[in-house]
Amino acid sequence: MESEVSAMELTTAIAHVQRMLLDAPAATAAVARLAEVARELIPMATGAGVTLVDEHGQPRTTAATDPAVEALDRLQYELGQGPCLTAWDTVSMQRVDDTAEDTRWPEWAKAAVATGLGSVLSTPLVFRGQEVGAIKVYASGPHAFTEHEEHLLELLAGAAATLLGAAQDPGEIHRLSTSLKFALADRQVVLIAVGILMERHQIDREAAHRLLLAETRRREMPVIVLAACVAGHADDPRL
Amino acid sequence: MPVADEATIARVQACGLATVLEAAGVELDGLWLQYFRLGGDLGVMEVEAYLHHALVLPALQRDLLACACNELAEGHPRRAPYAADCSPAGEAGAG
Repeated sequence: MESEVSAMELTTAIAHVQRMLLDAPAATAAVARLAEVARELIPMATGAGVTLVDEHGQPRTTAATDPAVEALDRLQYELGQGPCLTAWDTVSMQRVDDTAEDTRWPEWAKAAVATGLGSVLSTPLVFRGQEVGAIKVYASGPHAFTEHEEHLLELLAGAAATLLGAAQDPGEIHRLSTSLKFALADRQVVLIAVGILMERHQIDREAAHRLLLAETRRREMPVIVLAACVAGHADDPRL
Repeated sequence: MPVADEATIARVQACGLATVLEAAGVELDGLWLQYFRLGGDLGVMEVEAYLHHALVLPALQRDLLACACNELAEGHPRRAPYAADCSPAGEAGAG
């Protein structure tokens, strides 16, 4: 399916995003919120960071949930090596299972070990085919991330890129990131309810999710409300 | 075989979904966020491709999108259909 958007419109849209992100304080706040969302989405993560680049690929706005992440990020650009730069160059997710054993970016890995970070996951933010930044999560122990976390981060990167594209100004990115944060909290409640139903009925994740959906439909209740009942035990309807 | 195949059901569901989205003025980003909230696993791009019949999503994801749409379009007379509504065998048609 080919997009109908002309090259001109595309250039204008990307330029708009980049201009918006150069408006420093508001953009930094918005990006910081995104980093926070990333950390909350991936429970194994001890820290997260987001970097946005200008049209020349230079990092312009960065935010991280803690100073170690920020320092390690900056180091990548100084050394010219690291998972985020490779994620950027290859437009693909990069996973470091154990910084102590990584040979791809030896200098950077050494620093990561010294900082106490064991695993990293980094993925580019792609808006309409153009990279506008990168998002990454770190964990103190090795082997913290699996395909599941890769999938979650990819999901978030897709949402974040769309959000950046849809926003008219940095304030709006901040508001949209806040919606994402609340959506995430609700999502966790739904997934907990699904987990309870899986165990209760000895069924797989998909069947449990379908059961929850079928029951909300039958009872004409919002999914979140029913999920909260199941997860909270208080008024557990014993589905 | 009276049971419609998966691709046909997906097409009917996607059509119904698109109709309600348009009638209720729900945008793709809003739909995706609600779908994500309900535990949906796919990205915005996949959802968009599904709406344009370029991708057949698994039944659970299609039903989550229908549910997300209907929750957002509350009070709207038209409802996005679930997979069970589109299969001639109805809800009992498992197997």
